[in-house]
Amino acid sequence: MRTFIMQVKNNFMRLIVRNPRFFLFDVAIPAGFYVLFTKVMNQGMPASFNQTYLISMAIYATILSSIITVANNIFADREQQYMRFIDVSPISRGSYYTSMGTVLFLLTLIEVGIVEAVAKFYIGVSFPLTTWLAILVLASLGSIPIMILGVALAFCGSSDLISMMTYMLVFPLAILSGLWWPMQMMPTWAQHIGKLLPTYQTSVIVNDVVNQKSWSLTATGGEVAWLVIALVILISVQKIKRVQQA
Amino acid sequence: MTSVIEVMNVSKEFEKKQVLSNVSFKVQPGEIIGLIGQNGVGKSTLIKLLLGLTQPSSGQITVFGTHPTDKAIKDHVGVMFQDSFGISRIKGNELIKLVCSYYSHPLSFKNMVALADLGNDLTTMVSKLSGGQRRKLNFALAMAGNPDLLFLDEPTAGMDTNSRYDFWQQVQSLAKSGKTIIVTSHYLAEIEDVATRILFLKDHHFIYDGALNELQKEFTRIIVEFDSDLSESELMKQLPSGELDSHLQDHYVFLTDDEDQLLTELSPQMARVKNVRVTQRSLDQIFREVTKGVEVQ
Repeated sequence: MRTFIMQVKNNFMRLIVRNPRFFLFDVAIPAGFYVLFTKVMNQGMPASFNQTYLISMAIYATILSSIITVANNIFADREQQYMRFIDVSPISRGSYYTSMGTVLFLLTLIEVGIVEAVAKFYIGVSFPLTTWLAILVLASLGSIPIMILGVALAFCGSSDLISMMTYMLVFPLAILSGLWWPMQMMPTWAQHIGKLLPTYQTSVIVNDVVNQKSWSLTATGGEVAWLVIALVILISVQKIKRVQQA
Repeated sequence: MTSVIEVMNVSKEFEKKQVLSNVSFKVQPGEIIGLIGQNGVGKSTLIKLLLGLTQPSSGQITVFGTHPTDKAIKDHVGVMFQDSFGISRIKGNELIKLVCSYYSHPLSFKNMVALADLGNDLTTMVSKLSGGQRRKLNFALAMAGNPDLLFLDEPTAGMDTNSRYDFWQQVQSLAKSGKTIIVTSHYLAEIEDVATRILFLKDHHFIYDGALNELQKEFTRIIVEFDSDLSESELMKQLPSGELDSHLQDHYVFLTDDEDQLLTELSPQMARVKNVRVTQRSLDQIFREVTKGVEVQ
C-alpha cells in the first residue's frame, strides 16, 4: 500500500500539477469551446443546447486526456526506461498501471468538474447536485475504454507515429460521435459509424440520466463491449511487443 | 556453496542472428565479475537474460535458485543500466523516495542521498540533471533495495574523473561487504582494479573465465615502453627480440618474450631513449590483443 500511495502521489505531481500542457489541452480547450459555442456562436440554438453541449464538451475533455495525455505519458515512461526499471524491481507492471489509472481517472474527474464549473458559474446552467455528480462520474467512467486504448497506443511505435495516431483517433471520435455538432448534420453512413463508437455510448448514457429517461441497456452493452475490445487490443499489443523484444 | 547465478548451455538468437552460443557459468556469493568483450558481442544481452528481460533461445538460467523473472528475487537485485532511467517532472529526492518504496528493506534516505551525491541539485528535476549526475543518481537507485546481487552495465560512462574515482571506491567497499557484483565497462583499467574474476566474451561464447592474474600468466609477453626520437624503422631494426605494439609521437611500446635481451639491444641507444618502463600486460592490452585475433589458451 505504501508503494501504491507513493506512486499515486508522484504520478499526480508529474501528470497534473507540473504538467501545463494538461491544462491547455485537456481543460482549456473543451472549456473554451463550451464558452465559444454557448456564449458567442449561439444564435438560433434551443435553450437546452447549453446542457447538451456541456455533456458533449465534458466527454470531449475525457477523450483528450484519455488518448493524448495517456499515450504521451506512457510512451515517455517507456522511452525514459521507467518501464524497464519496474520490470527489474519488486513491483509489477500491474501496480504501475493501477497507479497511473487512478491518477488518470482523477484527471478526468478534474476536467469534467472544470467544464461543469464553467457551465454552472459562467454560463448559468442549473442542475440538481445529483445530476452534476452523475455527469461527473458517468463521463469519467465512460472514458475508461478509451484510456485503455490510449495505453495501447503508447506501445505502437515512435513518438511521431504515436502523435499522429492520437490525433487520428481524437478528432474522428469527437466528430463522428456528435460531440462537436449534432449527428443529424452528418451523412447517414457517418451516423452509422458514429453510433458504434464508445464516446457515443457514453453520450447516450449521460444524456439519458440528465433527461431522466430510462437507463439505456444498448449503450451500456456497447460500453462494456468497447471495454473488452480495448483490453484485448492492449493485451495483444503488449504481447507483440514482448515477443519483439525477446 | 549455493550459486547466486547458474547459466547452463544458454544460447540466444535475435532475428536469426546468433548473439550467444552455448554459454555456461556459475557465480558464487561475493564474486566481483568483470564481463568484458567488444561492442555488440552480447554483454548487455547476457545481463538482460540474467534479469529476465529477455528469454534464452535455449538453455537454462537460475538466479538465487529460481527463474530470473520471479518477482520474489527482485528485492535482492540492483541494476544500473548503461542508459540512465528517469521520470518526467520528478525531482531527484522524490525519485529516490519513490524507488525506495518499491523495496521491503530499502536503504535509508540519508544513505541514498549520500550515494547519489547530488548536493544542492537533490531537489532539481531529474531531466535537468547533467549526464554524470544522472549516472550517480542511477547508481543510488540501483542500491535502493540494499541488493545482494548488483549489475553495473557501463556504470561510469558519462562521469568525470573524480566521480569515476569516487564511484569505484564505493564499489570496492560494496565488494568488501560481500555483495556479488557483475560489471561491464569500456574502462578496463577500472575493472582490473575491482574484479576478482574475468568473463571474456568473444564470438558468442566465453573465451576466458577465470582470475585476472591467471589471464595475465597466459599472456607471458612483457611490455617494454619508452620515449625516443629515433625513427620507427631504426628501432625495429635494432630491437629484433621485440615486436612493435604501438607508436604515438615519441612514445614506443614493444612486446617481448625476453625483456633482458630487448634492453640489451636498446642499451647502445640510451642517449636517445628515456622513461623506460617494463611492465606486465594490463587487461586493456590483453583485451586489444585478444580481440585482434590472439587465442587465449
